[in-house]
Amino acid sequence: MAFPTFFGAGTLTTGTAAITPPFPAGTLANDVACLVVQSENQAITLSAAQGFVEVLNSPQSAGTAGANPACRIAVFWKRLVGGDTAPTVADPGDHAVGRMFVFRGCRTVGNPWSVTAGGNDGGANDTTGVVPGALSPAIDCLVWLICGTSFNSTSSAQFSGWTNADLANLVEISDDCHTVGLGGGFGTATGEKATTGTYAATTVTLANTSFKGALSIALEPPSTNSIAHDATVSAAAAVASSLTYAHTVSGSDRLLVVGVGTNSSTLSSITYAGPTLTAVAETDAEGGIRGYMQRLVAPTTGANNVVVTFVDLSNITSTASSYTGVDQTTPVDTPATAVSTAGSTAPSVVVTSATDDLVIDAVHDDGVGTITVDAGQTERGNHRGAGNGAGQAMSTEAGAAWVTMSWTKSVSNKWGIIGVSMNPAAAGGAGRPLRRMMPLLGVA
Amino acid sequence: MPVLINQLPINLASGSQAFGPLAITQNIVTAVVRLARATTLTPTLWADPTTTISLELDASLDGGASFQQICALTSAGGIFSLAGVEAPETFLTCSVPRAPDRQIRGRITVTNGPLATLLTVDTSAN
Repeated sequence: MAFPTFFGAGTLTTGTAAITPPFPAGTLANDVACLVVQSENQAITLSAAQGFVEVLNSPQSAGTAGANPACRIAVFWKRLVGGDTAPTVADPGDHAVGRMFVFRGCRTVGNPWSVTAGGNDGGANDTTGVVPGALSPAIDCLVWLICGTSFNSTSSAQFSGWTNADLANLVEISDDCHTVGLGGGFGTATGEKATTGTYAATTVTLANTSFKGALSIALEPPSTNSIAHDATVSAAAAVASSLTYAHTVSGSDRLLVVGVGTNSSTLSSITYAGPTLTAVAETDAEGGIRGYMQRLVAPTTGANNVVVTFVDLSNITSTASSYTGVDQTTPVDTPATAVSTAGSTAPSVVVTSATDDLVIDAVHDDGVGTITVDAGQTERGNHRGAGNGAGQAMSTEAGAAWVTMSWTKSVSNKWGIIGVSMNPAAAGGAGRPLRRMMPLLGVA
Repeated sequence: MPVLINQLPINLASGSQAFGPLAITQNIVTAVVRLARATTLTPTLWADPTTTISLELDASLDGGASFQQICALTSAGGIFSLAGVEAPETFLTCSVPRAPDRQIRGRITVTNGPLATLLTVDTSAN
């Protein structure tokens, strides 16, 4: 995988009113444009956003708003689509210094960063800048470092000596300071972080005493992770205490997901090639209509038996569906379930997921009539139980922040549905679990 | 739904009885094996709850040269009622892998027999 790259910057734009910093020439669709704006620690907003939104952990500031010296920096970003219009920064009050930076080879969906961090150097008015580091869950990030200055001069030599042992090829890419209003500016640099893990704070030397605000943004390359469907098999039995069926598994970073529907007894266990599966979730729509989803990490490859065992005689319908490219440490997130005990024709559940994930659901009912998968989903088995009173079906859909898994039944009756997001195997290591931990750690 | 075996009487002491192999046509996707159970109207069929069976279904994708199990179940006898309705049969259904020259065969293994039942094997196309 290649690092994202700095493509270029537009013209430095300053003013004591609203400003519209332009794009550099030659941008392409999927380039990530980032607008950096400095003010006298006064609010920085976009009066015409043009699709730009503020980066997490922006703004950062120090000093008294509107009084010299003071500094606030804010960063806004947009993934370009072609033919984009530059945003306009509303008048902050004293002045605005802005410049558009464009990066290429970043993630093409979702936020382009794996992590951001911000700080203000402890509010110190000195010549040593500190740009906070962070714990990056992704590999091959281009870490963009931004440090503001409150110094009032027109200079392109305010920043020097960018230092961070965790970042390779650390190089300054801009250094702009202006006397507009009470004056100020910012310097930026990029460095490469090839592995997951922490990059420490970056230090930078300023030519003059200054209040500062600082951000680091770890721009992430496009994901090469992809969860792929391997194989799916369904089977059913009536008045049986166990159901066994063959399922062939292949590939790497494997996950086997088994759904079971019944209308009578309760599930005892599911095994595949010996090992017992782990429960994901179960539902009880009353009247015996129960559904189960279980999973097994790294199932044995080849043709082996799924064995579904109940505590007593039961009607059993089951689907086994295997996938490759799934994270082997945290294969699934927290499941979501929904049931209808009164009966309806629209089983549906909303699943929390993420870009690059793959959502899988298992729906079960009494097997009467038909059940049709929503157009946005891919059906992975749909067995009506051949009259055993236990219908069971599964499907998948690409991950997003929220994914609704839904089906349409031809007959209104009880149903249950379980949905869960499968996590992709992290390229180059166990980065994905770290991504999942970020909110818990209080960072982006 | 082509019926390959229709209510064949099975009277089996403890042990195994095979059925098939049965050739299936290209368009067949699912096989169903049915065993009649005891009900109020059929009290002599598989009436003993302690009589247990294992029902296995194999498929050949090479014209009968080799077979592999594709699905199976275990069950027990006696009258089985659900919501007041007696189940007339135990059945097993699963898909048959695609191949140009397919056959299926099965096997019933009885523990604590004897077992008296009726065997039906049918198939469905897509």
